[in-house]
Amino acid sequence: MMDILEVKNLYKSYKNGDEKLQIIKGLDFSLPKGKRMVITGESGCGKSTFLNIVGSLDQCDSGQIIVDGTDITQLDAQGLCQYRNRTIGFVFQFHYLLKELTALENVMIPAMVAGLSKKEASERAAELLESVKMTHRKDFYPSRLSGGERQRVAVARALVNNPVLLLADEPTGNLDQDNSRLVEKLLFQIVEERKTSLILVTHDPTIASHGDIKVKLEKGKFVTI
Amino acid sequence: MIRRFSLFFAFKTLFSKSGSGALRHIRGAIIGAAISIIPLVVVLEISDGMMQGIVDRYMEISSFHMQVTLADSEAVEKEEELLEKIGNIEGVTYAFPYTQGGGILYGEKGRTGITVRGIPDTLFKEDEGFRRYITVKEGEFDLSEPDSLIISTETAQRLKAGVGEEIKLLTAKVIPGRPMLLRPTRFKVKGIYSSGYQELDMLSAFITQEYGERLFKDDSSRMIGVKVVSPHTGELFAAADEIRYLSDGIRVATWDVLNDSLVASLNTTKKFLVFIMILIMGVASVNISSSMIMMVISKRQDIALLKSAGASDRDVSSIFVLTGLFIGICAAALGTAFGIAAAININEIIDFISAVLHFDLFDADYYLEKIPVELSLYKLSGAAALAVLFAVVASWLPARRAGRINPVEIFRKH
Ligand SMILES: Nc1ncnc2c1ncn2[C@@H]1O[C@H](COP(=O)(O)OP(=O)(O)OP(=O)(O)O)[C@@H](O)[C@H]1O
Ligand SMILES: [Mg+2]
Repeated sequence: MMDILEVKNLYKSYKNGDEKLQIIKGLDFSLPKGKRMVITGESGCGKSTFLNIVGSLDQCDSGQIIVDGTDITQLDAQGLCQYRNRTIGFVFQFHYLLKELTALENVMIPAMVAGLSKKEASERAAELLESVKMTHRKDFYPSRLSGGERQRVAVARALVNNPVLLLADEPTGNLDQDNSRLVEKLLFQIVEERKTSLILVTHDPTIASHGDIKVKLEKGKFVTI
Repeated sequence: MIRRFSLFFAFKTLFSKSGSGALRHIRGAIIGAAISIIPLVVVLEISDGMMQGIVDRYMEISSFHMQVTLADSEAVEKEEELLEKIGNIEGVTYAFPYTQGGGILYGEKGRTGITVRGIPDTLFKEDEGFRRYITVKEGEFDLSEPDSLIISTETAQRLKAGVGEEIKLLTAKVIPGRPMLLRPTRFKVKGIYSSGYQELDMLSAFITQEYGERLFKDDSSRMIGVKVVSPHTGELFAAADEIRYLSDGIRVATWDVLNDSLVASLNTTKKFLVFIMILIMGVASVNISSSMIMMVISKRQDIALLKSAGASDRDVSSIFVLTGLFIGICAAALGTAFGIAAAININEIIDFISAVLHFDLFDADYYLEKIPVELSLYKLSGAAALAVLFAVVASWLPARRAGRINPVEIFRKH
C-alpha cells in the first residue's frame, strides 16, 4: 500500500533569543494511506509544531515532507495554497468558526476558496453537515451552537474538499468528556467512511487507543507505543 | 484578480444577520468619509455656477460678447455700413455703436470713480442678454433724454443720490500738446439698477450715446458692441472671423479675451478651493485606514483560518480592499446626496447662518447676491469616483497587512 505521508529526516528549531530550541530532531516516518495515526506527548514537546509543518503553515529547517507523492517543501506560495485547500484538512482545538457565517456557510469556505460556485459549495457543505449530523443546525450562527456542535461543524469544514489527509490538533481538547467522545467517534467514523488518512494529536488515552498507529513524540522523535 | 470567494466573504461578513456583522466597524468610516465629500461637492456645484454668473454679467453688460474697434478714422465713416454688415452675419443678434470712458461721478454728498458707457437707448429694450442682468431698482432704464444717467445701487449709495437728482461727471479732455483739462458734465439720474454682482456694478454707469460721443472723442473710446446667439460656442469665433474680413483695420476682441484676467483669477480661486477640498477628503480617509486596521485586528483569527483553508495572501487582501471599496461607494453615495442637498440650499444655508450669527457670511460686494447652483453629473461622478478611490487606497495598506498575517502565530496565541 502506498504511503500518504512520508517524512524524511525532519528538523525544526525555534530561536528563542540567543538560545536555539531544537523541537524536532531528524524525524523519519511514513503513514500508509487510509490509516489513522495518533500522536501523544508531553505539553510543549512539539506536536502542534509537527502538524503545522505537515500542514505547511510552518516551515521546517530541513528534511522532506512528501504528501500524496508531492514534496511540499518544494512548493511555491500558490502551490502551498492549493495544497492546504485541496490535499489536507485542519481541525484545531479551537473551532475558529467565523461568527458572521452560518454553520453551512462556514463549511462552504474551503469549497469557495477552491473556486466552486456558491451553489456547488453549499450542496457539498450540506452533505458534510449531514455526515456530522448537523443538518438541523445548518442555518445557525456559531454563537448559538454548543461546543461539541461547533467542533462538528469544524470537522465538516475540514473535509469539504475531500482531502486525503486530515490533521487534527487536539480537536476535543476544549470539550467535556461526553462531547469529546462523541466528536471523536464521529471523527473516526467519518474518516473511515471517506478513506481519509488521519493524524490526530491528543492527550486523551482513550482516544489515543483507537488509532491504527500510536506514537509518542519524545525528544524530537516518534516513539511507537 | 478578485475571486468570487473574496467577494462572498466580504459580503457575508458585512451583511451578516448574526448580529455581529462587520458593518458596525466601518459605519463611522463611512459617515466620516461621506461628510468629507460634502465640501468638494458643494464647491464643484456652485463654483462653476458662480463663475458663470459673474462672467455672464461681464459679457452681457460690460464687455459685451465682442468688441469691434476701427483702427483708422476713415473707417469711422463706414461705421453705418459696417454695423449693417455685422448685423447680417449668422448668429449675430445685435450690433451697436457705443463709447466707453472713465471719469469721476460726484454729487453733493459723495463721489466715486466710474466707467461710463454711452449706449443706444434701444439696447435695454432690444438686447435680451443686457436686460436679463439689469434689474431696475428705482426709476427706469431710460436714456431718451441726452443727459440721462443710469447708475447702480452701489454707486447711488456712494453718491447718496436718488432718481431725479443731478450728478456731475468729471472727464478728462486731452488735446495733444496741451495740459489735460478736466471737464464737468451735468447728468440727471434716471434709473438705478443692479446686476447682482456688486463689484461689477460699482464700476459701471450708462449714459446716452450722444453724450458719450461728445465726452469720449478719441478713436479708442469708440467701438461696436456685438451680441451673438450663443457666446459659449464656436459660433462666436466664427462670427468674429467673419467680422475681421469685413474691412481692413478692424479689430475684434471676444469676451473671453476682454475678460481674461477675470476668468483666470476666478479659475485660480476655483482650482485652489477644489484642491483644498480634495485635501480634506485625503485627510478624512485616514479615518478609513484606521477603521480598516481595527477590523483586520479583530478578524485575525478568521484570517488565520482562511489561510489555513488555502486562501492566498491576495484572497485575504482582496476581502479588505472590497470592504474599502464598499466604504467608498457608500460614502460617495451618501456624501454626494448630502452635498447636492447642501448645494441646492446653499443660499438658504448662508442666509440662515448669517441670521444666526448676525453677520454677513459672504460680503455681497464680492459675491453674487444669489449663488447659482449647477448640478453637473460629470463633476458629481468625478467627486464620487475620487471618494471611492481614496477609500480603496486608504484600505490598501491594512488589506496588505491582513494578507500577510501568519496563521501559526495567531493559532499559537489563542
Ligand atoms: N515561534 C516560536 N518561537 C519560539 N518557540 C516556539 C515557537 N513556537 C513554538 N515554540 C516552542 O516550541 C515548543 C513546542 O510547541 P508546540 O506548540 O508544538 O507544543 P505541543 O506539543 O503542541 O504542546 P501542547 O500539547 O501544549 O499543545 C514549545 O516549547 C514552544 O514554546
Ligand atoms: Mg499543541
